[in-house]
Amino acid sequence: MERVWKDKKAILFFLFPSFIILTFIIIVPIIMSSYYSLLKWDGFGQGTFVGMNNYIKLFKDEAFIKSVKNTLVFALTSVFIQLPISLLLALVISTGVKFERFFVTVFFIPVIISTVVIGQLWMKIYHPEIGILNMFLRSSGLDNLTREWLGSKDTALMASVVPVLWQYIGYHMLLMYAGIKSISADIYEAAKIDGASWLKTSAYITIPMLKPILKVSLTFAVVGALKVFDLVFVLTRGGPGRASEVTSTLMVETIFKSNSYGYGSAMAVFIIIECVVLYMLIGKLIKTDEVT
Amino acid sequence: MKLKGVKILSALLGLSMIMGTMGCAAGTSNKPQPANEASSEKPAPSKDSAAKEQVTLNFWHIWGAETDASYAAVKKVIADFEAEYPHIKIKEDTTENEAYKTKIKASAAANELPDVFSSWGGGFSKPFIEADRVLAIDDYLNDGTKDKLVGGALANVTYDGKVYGMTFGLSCGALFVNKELFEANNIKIPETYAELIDAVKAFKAAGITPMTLSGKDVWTIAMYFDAMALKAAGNDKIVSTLTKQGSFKDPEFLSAASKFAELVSLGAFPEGAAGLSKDESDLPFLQGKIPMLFNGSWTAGSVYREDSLVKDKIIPVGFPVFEDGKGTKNQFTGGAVDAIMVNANTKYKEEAVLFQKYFCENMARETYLAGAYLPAWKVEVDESNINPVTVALAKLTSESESFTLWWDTLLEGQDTQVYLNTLQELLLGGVTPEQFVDRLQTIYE
Repeated sequence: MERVWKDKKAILFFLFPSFIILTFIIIVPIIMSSYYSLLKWDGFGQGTFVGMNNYIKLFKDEAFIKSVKNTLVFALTSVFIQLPISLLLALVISTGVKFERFFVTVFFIPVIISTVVIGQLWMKIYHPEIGILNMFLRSSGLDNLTREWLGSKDTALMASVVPVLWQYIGYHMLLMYAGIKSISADIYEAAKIDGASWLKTSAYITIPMLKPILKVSLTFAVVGALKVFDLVFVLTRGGPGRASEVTSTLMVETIFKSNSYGYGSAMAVFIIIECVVLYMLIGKLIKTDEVT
Repeated sequence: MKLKGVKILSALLGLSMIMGTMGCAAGTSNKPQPANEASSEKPAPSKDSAAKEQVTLNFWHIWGAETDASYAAVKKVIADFEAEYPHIKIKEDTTENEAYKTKIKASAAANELPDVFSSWGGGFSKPFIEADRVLAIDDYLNDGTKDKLVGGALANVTYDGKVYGMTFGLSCGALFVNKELFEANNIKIPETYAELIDAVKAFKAAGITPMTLSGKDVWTIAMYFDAMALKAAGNDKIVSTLTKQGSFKDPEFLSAASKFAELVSLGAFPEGAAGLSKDESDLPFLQGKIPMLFNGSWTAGSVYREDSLVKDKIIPVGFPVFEDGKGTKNQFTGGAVDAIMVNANTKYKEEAVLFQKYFCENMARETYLAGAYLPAWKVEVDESNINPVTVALAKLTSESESFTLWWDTLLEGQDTQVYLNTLQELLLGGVTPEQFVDRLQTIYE
């Protein structure tokens, strides 16, 4: 291995292909989008250069501001609801409960299922008449709690948040579970001998030692929430009346339906900047000494 | 050992990446050939007419999938044409509908259009025509072709008074009513708005949701509103207002919006319709639980399927007329939008136009027989084998005065979104009819 690291040619050989791919499918498009975002362009014919106008327009656009707020709801709920549940599940399962592997698999299943399928599944759950949720409420005499979950402005956003959280709980749980399993058993033994309870072990040993993994999970959860598109698109298309619009669904509508390529590109650039800024913020907030 | 594995793996990975990029490179260099080049085949004397030059026409279209209702019709018409005109060969190139739109836009921008291609009338082809990519065919239409077309067949392919394309089939909006449900509840099929309101109230009283639409697939709301605005304002006013020569603040639009809001407040549409997709919202209608659905003529297909529960119960009628409206019962929404166009720079203008005419005239008959479109040409066919709902639609529209293009086709992209989003708000009660017309008026800004 040592020899490989010293061999500059080998490094070049291995990095070059990915460098090329990265350049052409990520860096070049970002640069192109940034350029388009300075144009007033319908995607066909010639665009006119308008400078920062598209960005100024962004922050005056009610629909865009609403979409950013909704996206932040996704990010906050991911951090404060999804991750704690994942952590709890990981902590419990890793204690060596019966059928450990079985539970890991069960919680991971939603991650494997196609998002469109999950969308269809939850659409059926939320269906105002034949949906299991409203049927359950009706049969337990809670008729006044039944809602048009995806069709009402008040509930559409939360109704789309829940499936997104549910889908990725297993993903973060698996990351944390693997992290916990890699902590040396000696430490736990020592704690056990000292008479530490499960709660104490978790709070003072597992979670602190899991910090690098938690940071990764946090980053994925936040960035993933900022980019959320597929489930929202399947469930509500951002509707009704923008109630569940997120930045990426609005971007797609702007580019492909309104033919405002330039303005839509400005939204794309905003999403990129938003992701990078929050990523760096997380890095600053959680300092880890270890290499993750 | 482990290290060796890693090395092999990385080498494989690196190799696959290189292969991947090479694949990409090969893909991009494989650009579509400029149409003119490909069609310049060496003249070869044909059997019957040695004098005639052998011509190959490139034809791009969207009916390439065997599941498409028009697939067989296209194949048949092209084969017939080649048999009739042996010196002309048709080289087809088909692409799926949505991808085709991108492809044709890009080819038009690069001036690489094929000799003949399918397109859409109205706003879609406007940029091509403005860029002089499409041949104006007025000079070719005076040989009696115009008399064979039904009224309005060329309306959507006419730009600045010149005809740039030809259509074969048309679609229209119609109110599909379940006559059995109407009879069972002793309700009259509405012909006027007052009767529609009565019918809605009567069905509500009987515990039946009267109509259905999907708030998620917003265009289905627009189907209703396009028709209501038409009945309120009449064809001419709609066209002039949507082409920005008028005002949405005229009382007709407010009247249409108020009537739509009235239907909503009467509970004419299913609870939770705003969150349902078209498939979900159509289901109760197709199960015979909801008596009315206003949508495009293509609905005939889903109504008259083998396993349909409402197969012989549905009849199409026009949207009820408004007592105080300017639109008549013979004005319809929809129109002939699918068009065949000829490249302005084709080498074989005569042959291309010949094919264009032949194709459209025969497609009108064949697609009608297949139940895919209503004919935009005057055709005579045996109607006993055609989907009876389609035949009823053809009867309904045979006296048509005008077809008003759907707003989302007539308006340009950005304006369409303003219209659809505001309409969704009107359905949800988020805006009043007054606010609705005010927002529509922002299209003028």
